[in-house]
Amino acid sequence: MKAVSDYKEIVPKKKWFETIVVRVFFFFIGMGMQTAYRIDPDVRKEVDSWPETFSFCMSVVGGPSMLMLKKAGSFQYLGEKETFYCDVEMCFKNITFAYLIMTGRISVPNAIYHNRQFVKGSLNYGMSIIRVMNIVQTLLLPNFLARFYIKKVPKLTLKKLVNRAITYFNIGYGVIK
Amino acid sequence: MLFKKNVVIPEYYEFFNSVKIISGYKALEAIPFELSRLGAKRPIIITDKGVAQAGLIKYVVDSFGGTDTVVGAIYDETPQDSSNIVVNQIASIYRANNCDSIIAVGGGSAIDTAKGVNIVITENSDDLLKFMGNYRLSKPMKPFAVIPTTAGTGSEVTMVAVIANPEKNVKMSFTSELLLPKFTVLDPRMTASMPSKITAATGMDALTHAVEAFIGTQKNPVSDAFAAAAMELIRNNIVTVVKEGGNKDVRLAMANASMLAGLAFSNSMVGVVHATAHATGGICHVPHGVANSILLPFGLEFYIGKSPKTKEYIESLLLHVAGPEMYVQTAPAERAVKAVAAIRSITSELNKLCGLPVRLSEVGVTEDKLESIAKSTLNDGALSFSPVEVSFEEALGVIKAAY
Amino acid sequence: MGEAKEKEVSNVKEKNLPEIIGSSNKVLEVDLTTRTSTVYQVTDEERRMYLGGKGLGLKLIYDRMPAKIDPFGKDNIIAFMPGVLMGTGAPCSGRFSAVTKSPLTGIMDHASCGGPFGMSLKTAGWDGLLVKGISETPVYLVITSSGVEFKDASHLWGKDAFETQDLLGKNKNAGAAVIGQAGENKVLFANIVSGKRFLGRGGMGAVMGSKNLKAIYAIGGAYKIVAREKEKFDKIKKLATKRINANSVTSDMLRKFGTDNLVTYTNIAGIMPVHNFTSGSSENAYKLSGEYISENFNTKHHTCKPCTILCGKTGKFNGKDLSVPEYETVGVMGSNLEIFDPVLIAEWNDLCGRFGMDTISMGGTLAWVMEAGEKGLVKTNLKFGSPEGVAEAIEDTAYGRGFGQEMGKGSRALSQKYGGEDFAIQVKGMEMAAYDPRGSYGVGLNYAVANRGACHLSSTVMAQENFVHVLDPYSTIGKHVWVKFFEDFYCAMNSLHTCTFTSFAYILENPLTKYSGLFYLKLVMGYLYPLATKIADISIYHKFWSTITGMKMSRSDFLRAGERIHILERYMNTREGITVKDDTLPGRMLKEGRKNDPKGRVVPLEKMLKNYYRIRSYDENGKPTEGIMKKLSIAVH
Repeated sequence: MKAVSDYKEIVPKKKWFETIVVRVFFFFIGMGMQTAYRIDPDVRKEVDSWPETFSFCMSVVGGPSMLMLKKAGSFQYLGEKETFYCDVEMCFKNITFAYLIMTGRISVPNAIYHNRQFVKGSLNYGMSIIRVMNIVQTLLLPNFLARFYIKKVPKLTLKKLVNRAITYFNIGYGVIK
Repeated sequence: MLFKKNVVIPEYYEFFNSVKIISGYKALEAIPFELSRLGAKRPIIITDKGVAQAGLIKYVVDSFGGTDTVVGAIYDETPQDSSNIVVNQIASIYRANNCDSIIAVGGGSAIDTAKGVNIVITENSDDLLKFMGNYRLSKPMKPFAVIPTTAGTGSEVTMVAVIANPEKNVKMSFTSELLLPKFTVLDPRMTASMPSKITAATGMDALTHAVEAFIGTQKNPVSDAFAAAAMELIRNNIVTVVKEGGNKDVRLAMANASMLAGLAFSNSMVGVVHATAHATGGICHVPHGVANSILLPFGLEFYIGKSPKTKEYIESLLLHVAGPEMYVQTAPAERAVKAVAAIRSITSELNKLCGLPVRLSEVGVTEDKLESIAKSTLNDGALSFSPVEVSFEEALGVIKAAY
Repeated sequence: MGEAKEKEVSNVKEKNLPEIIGSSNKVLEVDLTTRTSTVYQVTDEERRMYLGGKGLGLKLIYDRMPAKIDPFGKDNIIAFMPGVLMGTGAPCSGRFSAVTKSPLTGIMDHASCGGPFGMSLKTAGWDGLLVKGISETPVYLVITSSGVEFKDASHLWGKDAFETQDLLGKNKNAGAAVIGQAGENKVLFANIVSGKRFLGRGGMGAVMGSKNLKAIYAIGGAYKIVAREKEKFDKIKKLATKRINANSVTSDMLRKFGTDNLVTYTNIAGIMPVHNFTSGSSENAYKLSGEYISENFNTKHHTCKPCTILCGKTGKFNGKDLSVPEYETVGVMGSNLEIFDPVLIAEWNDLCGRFGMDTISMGGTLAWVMEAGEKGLVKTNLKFGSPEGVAEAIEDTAYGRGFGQEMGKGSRALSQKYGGEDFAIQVKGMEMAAYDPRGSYGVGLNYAVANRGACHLSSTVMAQENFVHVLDPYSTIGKHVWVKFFEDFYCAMNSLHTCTFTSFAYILENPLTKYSGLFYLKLVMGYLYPLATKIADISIYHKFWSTITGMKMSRSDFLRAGERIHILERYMNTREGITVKDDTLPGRMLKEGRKNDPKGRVVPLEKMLKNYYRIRSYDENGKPTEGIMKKLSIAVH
């Protein structure tokens, strides 16, 4: 029989792979949003309807995060920054959930239905933020992939392709930067 | 195959409810014991003018007779839209009178206000903005009970409270399982005096909750069971309750149906009907129950044309809204359409009985408002739970059809 | 319209006026006791070693004032020093320095101001003004190109600062430096007012008050200041203006929304003080942000002259035209007291301005009183979140009435008397500005070692940590190097003298920094900091200095001069008794985490301090070593 002292604390493994993937996707989405605000009229319309100095954060409980801030006529991606206040924070309950969402195994709407995330702050802008995320994802992903992420994929147009190229250029520039 | 597989296991779902339900004749008399079980002896009663004028508070106060429980204070001026100003006012009354628990008596606004008061008291902060969102509360709340006086909202079993902040011009929404009351009392006396038109509207509100829960995106076996039971109770009782308001059996059945529908939808979420109804209510001040009742058939018709999966659920809906006989007599291909027709027949019967409106044009919505309603629909949180993506044109289509 | 007016003025100047090429190097020394004045000629050596402005002021005082004197005594000297940039038309050069021994902290104090006094003094032909002695009766000075006149100020005594300036006259070439009632009553954090701008911190107003000196009225416009190497200077000026207009911080955020635009950043980062620094952010902070204020209070520019950034603002509050409070003021008088009403804060700000009191120290003291009242240490009706009694408390403080007399001694004196030193948020007696060091470790080190006390402008590392996001605010790596670099750099900048905000534009708009972006900047600044401090582009500053004076000045000379000024100030402070024990933070910053920080972090000061002492060449007592004094050629006396 084991003695009481044989029972030790067990520290579970860090999910480093998932964390890296989520971090990379957060970076893509953040840079994507920042660029989309400049080039996509729909995104601009949505973001302009938010109040000045509106901040929005997407995070994983105890994991990576991304912070967006609307300030001085731009929609800035501020990277992974510890935030003490933001107007709306969308928080995934576990890094695995975020990983599954980012790799297209669970669509964002599904994650919302499933309660795999929760929102801190005003829900009034929630729908608007989700629409912005949807547009950004159609910018980032080819249609056959975007299907996994969003409910309805818009038709591909030349403008969309050009915008996608600009977005990727900006993200690439953001990496070297 | 006559019966389709009605119960499906979703790939993931969550269900939570911890409310003790006390239902039946003289159920109010159980309150003092339940309160003392929670260590409370001095509740504040939060209610609105209508309830107070109908003399319903007397039943509640009388139930304390013969026990050592006393009512700390009665606040009966809750306005139609609960706001943080009222919440803070009640909280100071609560503190001044050394109350130790909260009883909400009334409809949605009184219950939401009471939930807000509970937050303010528990967190000892008059700034509700800090707790906006989901899961922001952590401290155990004060004992809290709800006695619904309308059989419709289902707020007695939901973990959401919506409170307006006129200063910042936002509707603050709070979600936390801590907001759930410790117990709810369904006593037929409390709903017996409701006028027939309101009875019909709130009954249809409950039906809408149940239907939307049944076809909702988070639909799961647990919520299905509640929704099915709610629909059956409503189907069998809604016409009778409007005809004979004094019938206590029917009143109790409807109160239960509303509570069951609340249980179902608070966990499986609602969709386009609620989104459009919220928008209509927000812009044209149509009562929530009425708007729901008008928009329900049109919302379902919209779903039928859009998503085969939802259509399947609507087919099964026929079983619950029209009964098994009708279900087996109908060919599978026509079931969905028949289900909508069955709901329409309920509303048109209520229309004949008490004048429950069936068109938006009958409730003061003007044509020039339709676009702004559609626009506001897109910003409604309920829409994110709709099983199909809804665009502006589609939302406008649903509203125009209902006009 | 403002531009047209300025042009007109300069046209007049260009036609008639004699020119000062470079700098006049003449410093006017006034003795109030004997009512005499002398002129001191600054040598080229002094100019090269101490640049001007703050540096030269310190050096002149160091040579004239013994240690351990009474700040209110006749030996204390107050120096008003415009730099070489003043009057040349360089962007954002409308600022001058003042140096004295502070009654609040008991050590050296330097303040900088953008009021009209500096320009008038400079264009009257003076590169500095030293005032010592005590007048028997209230007096005010009139400075012209020919010297000083002593005038009776009994009709001005008791008047507030704005009224006094109106009474002195409205010559467009003249500018005044005056004190309000707070200075007359020797409130330890009274300030000196020039226009609607202030020599804010450390109680310079009380020093003037102790000398019975109500005002100094300089009538300028006698000379035109031109750079020695005019063409080169114009080129630099063009580049500097271009960079200011290209930079988003200076041309967009500061210009449109003033310093209050920082509220957004500090609130997100959790360094906005709330409830006497117990918490770091608030849901209501948006009401204090520059964006909210400019939207709701119809703000207009009202700035130092000349200025290119245009961050100063006035607005319509409750129908009155008041200055928009700066970020520090909304932080310490707003969120720190849990007041989120810009109208109230603007009114209190105006009140403090009229009385001539430092808003940061006033706010910090109010917050201490509120918390002490909460804890039962003092009896007061002031409460967090309630504006009741605040305006009265400000007035009582200015007039030294009742408990206000003790409040006028600052939070350090109060806490020594009543207890509660852990929550007296001050360093060396000076109240902390509105950046919580627990969310910005570099600022923690800066507050602890800054020469004049908890000064946020000694090295503005919060900008790198929390606004531009190039340094990790919760890391101690390299912070000592950055704090030292910025201290040296700002000492030099304050000796030129130009606006601190220009550093955003001049450094960040350098092509290398601009196009290399965040990722690379983070890497270089966060880990390769010795390299980064070597390549940061500060060329505009020393080129400005050398083109104006015609003397050679390299980047390293410039930073060396900054270091010399900083070390001299530190050495003077150690003579007054400052040791390693004083280089610390309030107990709250070292023991208690912020309420809204789940990790409960505190400032790891000791580690940073040790590294900082090493690179600063201080000994274990915090005194500059002989080696460094010799290296910087500072004479020990």
